[in-house]
Amino acid sequence: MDVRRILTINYKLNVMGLVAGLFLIYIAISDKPWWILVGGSIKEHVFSAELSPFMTMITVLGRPVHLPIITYLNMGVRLSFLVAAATTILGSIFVKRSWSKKFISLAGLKTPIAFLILLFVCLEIVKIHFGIMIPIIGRSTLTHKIFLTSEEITVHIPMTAKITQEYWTALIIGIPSLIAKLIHPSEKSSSI
Amino acid sequence: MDVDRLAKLLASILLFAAFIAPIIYGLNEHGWNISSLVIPRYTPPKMGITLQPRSPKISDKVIFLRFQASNTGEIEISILSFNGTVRVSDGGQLGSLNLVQEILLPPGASEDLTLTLKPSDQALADLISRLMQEKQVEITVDGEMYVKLLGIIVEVPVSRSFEIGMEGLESWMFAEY
Repeated sequence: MDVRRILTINYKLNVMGLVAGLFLIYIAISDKPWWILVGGSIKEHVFSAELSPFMTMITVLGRPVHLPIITYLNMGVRLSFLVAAATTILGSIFVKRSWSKKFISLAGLKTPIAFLILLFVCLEIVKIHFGIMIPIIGRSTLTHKIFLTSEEITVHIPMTAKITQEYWTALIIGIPSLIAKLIHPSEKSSSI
Repeated sequence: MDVDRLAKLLASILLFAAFIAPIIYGLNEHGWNISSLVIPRYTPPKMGITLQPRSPKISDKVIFLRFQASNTGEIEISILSFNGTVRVSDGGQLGSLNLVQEILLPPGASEDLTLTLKPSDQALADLISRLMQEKQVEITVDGEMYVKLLGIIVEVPVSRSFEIGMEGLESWMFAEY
């Protein structure tokens, strides 16, 4: 039994590509974080960071930290994901066109992997430059000296970091795009 | 140029345009000022505690040093404990201090903060003797205040000098001596 023939309905429609395209849209419009860092207790946060390629939310002492460039970068990633979804769907529908395979995007698989690598690099930079060790997953204690009413005080802040279920969902969702690319009929097979 | 290459080029241009367009929009919104786009904006909440000395009280050879603690910041603070010592200026150590009870200070609130001091009989007698002669004696409180804010415990060093007088001590002094 030819799996490729089945998954492309006899080389007429790349089903996995279509699924991957719809999943890409779902990921792009989701506002849930992929990685969360919380400093302080469970009830009250001294600081928190919620990150994904599509959203960034950082708060320190209950106040948001706003970095305009991040907002526009998140917006850019979201739009390019939607474009990738559109090209993937187009490529999956027009299977017999010579250009269709090039339209199947692997963004759904590459982005979660790149996100984790970039996060690791950023945390290493923070460790080297500021001496603050932030784990990707797990618990740690941040010891920091601050000035309060002209006195130097030492704070010990417990930190908890985790990769959210949304991240793993995004990673798993990226697999259909790889399958879609692999099974996409070449010109030769589609002309049979 | 063949259709394949043209399609690939078109998809790449579209992806790039989708990514870069919001950044260009952002630059335009910020008057093409890159620094305003990359500099974080953050207004930290105010934090502060003031300790206003009030007249001390004495009972059963225990001196109650009283303060009015005020939260001058914007974050709720709990004072959990206080470990420290008291010295008399130009004199010896009076004893160690302990917080009577935890106090919760919402933003802008003030509460009485009472520290207990148990001096030795000799130190107490010396203090009373000086108070009777000089009416006012400068004492210095040194220690650490353990404060809880936003779920974390912060160790705040405290070093304050202030004068204590006969007020609050008189009734006990006359009763005992």
